[in-house]
Parts: sequence; structure tokens; C-alpha cells
Amino acid sequence: MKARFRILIGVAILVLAVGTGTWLYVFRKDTTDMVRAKTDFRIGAADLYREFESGEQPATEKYGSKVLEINGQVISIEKNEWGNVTVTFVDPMFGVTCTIDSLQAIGQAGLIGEINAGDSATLKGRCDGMLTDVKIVKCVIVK
Amino acid sequence: MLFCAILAGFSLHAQDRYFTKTGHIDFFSSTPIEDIKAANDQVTSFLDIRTGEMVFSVLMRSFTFDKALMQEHFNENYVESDKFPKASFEGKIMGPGKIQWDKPGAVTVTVKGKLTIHGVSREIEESGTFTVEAGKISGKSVFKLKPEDYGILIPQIMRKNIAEQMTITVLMYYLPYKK
Repeated sequence: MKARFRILIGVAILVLAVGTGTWLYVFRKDTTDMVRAKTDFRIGAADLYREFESGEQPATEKYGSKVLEINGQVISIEKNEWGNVTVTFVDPMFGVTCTIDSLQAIGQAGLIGEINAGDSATLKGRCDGMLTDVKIVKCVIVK
Repeated sequence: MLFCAILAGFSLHAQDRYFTKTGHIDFFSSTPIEDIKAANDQVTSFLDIRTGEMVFSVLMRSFTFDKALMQEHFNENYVESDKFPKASFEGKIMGPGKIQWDKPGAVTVTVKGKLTIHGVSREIEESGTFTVEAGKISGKSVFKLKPEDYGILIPQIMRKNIAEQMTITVLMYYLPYKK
């Protein structure tokens, strides 16, 4: 009787664990914690843009969906119409644009307030590829 | 490359050109089983108010879903973002000369052009509204699109979860292009 009870408890725990795992996998939100995310590449903004400009396809294959730490001189920092903060490096149109989501921007308001055009800054985020500029999204300010 | 080609062909008058790098496109699918919505606030678009030429380009990876698993399936199984990383539209506003771009107000227009998604290009014609307010131009369009028309195949098992037609909303706030 005691053994059967133990088996029953074991099965119940297993079912609960599998169920919770499945639920988390299916319904989890995209809560990429960029602060803790492992950095795949550390690169200067100008070097990154140059690499995309000279070979967009190989650069996309190399950096697409990867976590990058970008550093360089800030051309502009501004809040856009959706409440996201964009930090631009190299050139306003043909450079690197790092976007800090509106919610993340609230959490990093202090650090954002310390950055001005002309300053040196490092941001970490996911590289999505290139349009006119190289797009880095879900960014956080490293320093 | 698309933008370089388009910009080269754009009006020589810089004051006629407008652009945004933070345009918004979202799509919405509604079925009795579930609603699916994804948004992209990283759209780059150019508008030439003299010729009416317009171009949009988006990175498919930049569409954000509520559920991470949906985003994975979207990129890997449906739009194949590694193979087809971008979608684009190149077209023209019909009769741009009728719009008074320097006066506040809203005007409904027809836009015709080539929409390319998942490597498939199709001619489309949709209506939209341009609003001029305090010297700023914004554009909005809402239209329907069938994923199958662009070679995006929905497996039978997911057919009840994903609508046959998606509702696409495009919203751009343009700035003068000074390059």
C-alpha cells in the first residue's frame, strides 16, 4: 500500500512537472533578458556597418539573431513615436541603430539620461539584419 | 540595395523626399480558437511627394509576438526568415499632384505597386490615408492579405488557429529627408 502510494505521488509530480514545462514552453512570453544574455560578438559600430556594407548576406548569416555588444560614438539618441529609444551610431541613415524597447527604456531611464550625442556608449542587443542601417533590437545600455 | 536603387531614382529635389526608419506594420489573425498579433516598429520607408513614389522594407525577424514560441514558428516554419529575411513594397500613389502636401488635412489615396514577401512578388492596389499636420506627414493603410498568395503554407493541423486572411495595418510618421 505504502509503495503504491509512493508510485502515485511520483507519477503526480512527473505529470505536474511535464505539464508545467509544456505550458511554459508554449505560452512563455518573449522575455529575453538582454542584461543577462550571453554576448556572442563584441564589435565597434563602424566595423559592424562596414562588414554589412561589404557583404550583407554573409554578415546576416554571421550576426543574424545573435547577441551583440556594440560600442561607438553616439550620433543621436531620441525617443520615437512608439516610446522606444533609438541610439544611432556612424550615420543617421547608413549606420547602426540600436532600439531600446519602451518598457526597458523606463527601467534604464537613468542611464539613458546620461547619454548625449557625441558620447561614447556600449549597448547590447539582438541583431536583426540590415535595411539602410544595421538594426539592433531589444537593447540595453551596458555603459 | 533596394533603397540605393530607389533613392537614385527619387526626385532630385531633397525637399520632396520624406522617410522614416521607425515605421509600424502589424498583422492580425483572428479565429474562434485564438487571435494572433505581431508588430514591427522598425520599418524603413521613403516617400517622394512630387512623384508619389513609395518604398517600404522590413526585416521579418523584427516582428514581435506575445508568445515566444509563435515567433519561433513564424520565423522558422512560415516566413523562413533565414532564407527570406526581408519583405518590401515598391509602388506609387495614384495622383500625388491632387494632394496638398503643404496644407493640414487628411486625404484618402490609392497606392499601387509590387509587394514582395517570402520571395514572392505580387501587384497590389490598396487605399490609404495621408494626414498632414503641423508640417508633418503621416500615412496609414489597413488591408487584407492571404499568406498562401505569397507561398506561405499553413499546415492543416494549424488551419483552425490561423485565419485565411490577415489584417495588415501600416502606420508611418515621415520626416523630411535631408541627405
